[in-house]
Amino acid sequence: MDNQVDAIAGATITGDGVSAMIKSELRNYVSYFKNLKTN
Amino acid sequence: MSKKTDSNSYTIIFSVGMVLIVGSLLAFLASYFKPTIDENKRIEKQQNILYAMGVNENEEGSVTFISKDVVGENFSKYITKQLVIQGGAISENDQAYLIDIKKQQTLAKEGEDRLFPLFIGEKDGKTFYVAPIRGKGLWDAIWAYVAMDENMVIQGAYFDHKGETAGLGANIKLRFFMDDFTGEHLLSDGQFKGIDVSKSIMIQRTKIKWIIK
Repeated sequence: MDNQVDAIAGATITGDGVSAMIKSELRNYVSYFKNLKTN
Repeated sequence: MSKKTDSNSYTIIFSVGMVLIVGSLLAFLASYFKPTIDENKRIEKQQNILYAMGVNENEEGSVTFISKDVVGENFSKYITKQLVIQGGAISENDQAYLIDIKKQQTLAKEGEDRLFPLFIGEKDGKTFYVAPIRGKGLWDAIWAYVAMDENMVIQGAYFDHKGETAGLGANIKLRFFMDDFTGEHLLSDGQFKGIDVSKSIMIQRTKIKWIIK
């Protein structure tokens, strides 16, 4: 809802890795979804 | 009186012999079990994709995939289309779920156009778009299958890792973490924003719990 989820206590770097993975990978699908709406 | 086994040459020959025998045995076992290992990996990918879109046997708090015996038929039933996106072009490929994301990321680093698989599933009249992603944790690789709707709102996710710390980072594959992603918007005002794994929320909630106590 707010683009945030709870971190896991004691797992800061893993959590940062999850955020980075989502941002870098799912960004590549945005154009597909935008085309989906216009078609 | 010295024994034959006390000599240096005996020790060296014995060591070389053991390396050859054990090495050959391991190589034989690896090649013998390779088809089984590959088949298990294939089944696991199907289970992970279906899990993300809610086709699983979860009970309260548990993470339970659908059984290996029925995963194939369920994969065919629920996954209606497998797409591959490459440099703006979209094609269908019914083996897209076997694409190795690690290899594709390496290709991208070398300046080549990588493949982005996307699996489209239908369940209870709802369409799910499942994307496989891979990244880096504290110690080694982490990966996930994220199911979204057409607005890029997360509908479910399955996370896994290779070697995160047990009880800490390894908890990304537990329900309390994975389920928290459901309902999160990847877009904000039409722009991609992603999801932050935020310590501030955790700290705020801990403070609230202390105040209530």
